[in-house]
Amino acid sequence: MSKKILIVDDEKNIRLTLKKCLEDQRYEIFIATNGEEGISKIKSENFDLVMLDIKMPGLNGMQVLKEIRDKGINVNVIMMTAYGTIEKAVEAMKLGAIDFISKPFTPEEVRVIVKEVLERQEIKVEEIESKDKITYKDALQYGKKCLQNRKYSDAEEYLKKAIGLNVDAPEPHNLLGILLEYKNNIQSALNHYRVALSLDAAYKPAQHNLDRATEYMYTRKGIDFGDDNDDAQ
Amino acid sequence: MKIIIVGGGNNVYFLTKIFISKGYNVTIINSDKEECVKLARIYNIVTVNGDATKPYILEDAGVAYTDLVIALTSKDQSNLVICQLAEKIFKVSRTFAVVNDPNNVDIFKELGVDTVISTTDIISSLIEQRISIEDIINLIPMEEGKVINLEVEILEDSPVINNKLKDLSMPEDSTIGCIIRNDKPVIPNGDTIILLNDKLIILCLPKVQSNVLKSITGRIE
Amino acid sequence: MTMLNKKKDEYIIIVGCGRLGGSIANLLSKEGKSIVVIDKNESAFTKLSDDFSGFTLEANAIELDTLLRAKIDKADVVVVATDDDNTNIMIAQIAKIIYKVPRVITRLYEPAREEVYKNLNIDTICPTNLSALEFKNIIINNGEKVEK
Repeated sequence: MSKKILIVDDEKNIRLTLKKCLEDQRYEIFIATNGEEGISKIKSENFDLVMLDIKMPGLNGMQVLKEIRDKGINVNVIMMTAYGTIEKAVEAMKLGAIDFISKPFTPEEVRVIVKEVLERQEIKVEEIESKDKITYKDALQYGKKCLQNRKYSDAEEYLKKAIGLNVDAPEPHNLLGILLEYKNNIQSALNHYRVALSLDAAYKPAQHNLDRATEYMYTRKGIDFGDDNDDAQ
Repeated sequence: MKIIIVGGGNNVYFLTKIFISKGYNVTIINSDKEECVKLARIYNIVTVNGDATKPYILEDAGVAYTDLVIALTSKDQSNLVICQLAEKIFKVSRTFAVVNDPNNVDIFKELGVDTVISTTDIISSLIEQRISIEDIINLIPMEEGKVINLEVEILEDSPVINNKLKDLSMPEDSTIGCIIRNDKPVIPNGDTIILLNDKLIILCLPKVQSNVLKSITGRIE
Repeated sequence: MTMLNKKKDEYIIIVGCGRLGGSIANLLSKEGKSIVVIDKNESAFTKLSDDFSGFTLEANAIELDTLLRAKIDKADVVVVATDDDNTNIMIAQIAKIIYKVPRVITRLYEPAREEVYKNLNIDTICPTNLSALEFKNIIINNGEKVEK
C-alpha cells in the first residue's frame, strides 16, 4: 500500500515540482493550495506525511500546524521554508515538527528527507536496543521520533547517545540545542549550536538557530519569538 | 618593465605617474575616448580606446610584449576576463586585478589571476587597524612612503642563500623583520640561515631600497 | 537499502531569464527537470510559461551568495545565459572549477573570447558562429545541412 502525502503550498510551481519528484517514487500525492484547504483535507483523511509551506497568504504554515495539533492530529510534517527566513525551530518543535527543507530544493533532497521521515515512523525502540550495538543512525532517528512525539527526556537521552556514537556529526548537537532552548537552558543551547558549527561551518540549521537565539531577548517570562509575520533578512 | 593598465578612474593618473617615474613603459586601455586622449597627452604614452575584454583591443595595446596587466575597471567580471585573456591567449606572465566584492578575491585566485586586491577589504582593515592600535605606529607603505615593506623570495641564484643573517651585508636603514618559511613565520636572529624559497620580509627606508634588493637578489629590478 | 534513483540532469540552474534563458527553462521544465531560474529582475520571470514547475530567484547571480542560495553545489547542470559575455565567463567558471558542476553550458557572443574556456570542459554556444554556419548552408548548399 503506497504512502499518502499531502502537499500544502500556495505556489503552483512548487506543487508541481514536488508532485513530479514524489510520484516517481510511487507515493500517492494530494494537493492543497492554501492553509484552510490543507487543514480541511488533513482533518478528513489519513495522510502518512504532510509537506507544509510556512509562508502562505491567509493561514501560514505554523498556524496550520498549530490547528491540526490542537485537534489531536499527529501526522508527520515537513516544513518548507523560503531562503532567508529564520525558522521558528523551537515553536515548531513544540508542535512536533522537526524536519525542514529550504527552497529551492533538489529532487534528491526531497526524496532523501521524505524517505527518512517515513522510515522513522517505523522505528521501534525494542528493535534498536536489541541489536548488539546501537548505531548512530538508529539513535539519531529514534531521538528525532521522540522529539516529534514530545517525549523529551527520551529524546535527550538518544540524542546524547547519537553524539557519543558519532562525534563529528553536527545534527544531533543542533537538535539538542533546540530541545535545550525549549527547556529554557539557553546557554547550553547556544553551546551546542556553536559545537555544531565548529564541526561543520556550513551547517545552516545551526547557523540559523544561533542567529535567531542570540537575536531574541530572553526575559524571565520566557522566549520572545518576535513578530509572527517577520520577514527576516 | 612594460605594463598595461585597464580602466580605473582618477587612480590611473597617479598610478601612471608613479610607474613612469620608475622608468616603466605604460600603455593604457580605457573605454572613454576623452580619458585616452588626455592621458596620452599628459604622459606621452600610448593609449587604446576600447573594451579590453575584446582580445583585439588587448592586441592593439601590445599585450603580447607586456610583462604585467593591471585590471582596474569597475566591474569585477571584466577584470577577470581581462586577466584571463592576457594570460591564456597572450601568455602574459603576471596579472593583477582589483575586485569590489571581497568574495571574489579567493575566486579569482583559484581561476588563475596572480594578484587580487579587494579595495573593500583594504579600507575596512585599515579602519580596524586605526581603531585598535594606539601606541604602535603602523609603518606599512600606505603611511606616505615613510617605510618600505618588501617581501623578497630567495631563489637559486640569490647571493645570500645558505648564509647566516649576521653575515649579510645589508645597507644601513634596513632590517630583516621576519622570514616566511613553508608558510610559517620565523623571527630570525643573527644565526638564522637563509634557505632556498624563504620569503624575507624586509623593512627599509625608501632611499636604500635598490641596494637592499641588490644585496639579496644580486640584481637591480 | 534501496538505491534512490538519481539521474544525471535532474537539478538544473539557469542564470538569466532573457529570451534564451526563459525558453530553455520552459523547454526543460516540460521535460520534467527540476529548474531554478535566476535573474536580477522579477519582471523577467513573466516569460516563463504557466505550467513552469520550477523555482525562480530574483537576485544578482554574479554574487557568490546568490549561487549558494540556489544550491549550486547540488546542481547537475548550470546554464549561463545572461546577455553579457564577461558575466557568463565568470559564472561558468565558478560553477565548473569551484563547484565542480558536472555540466556547464554557456552562451558566448564574441567568438574571440573562446580561448578563456579552453580545456575547462565547459560547453559554449556561440550564436554568431551558429548563425553564420546556417547562412552559409543556405547560400552555398541550398540549405542542405553539412557537417562543420
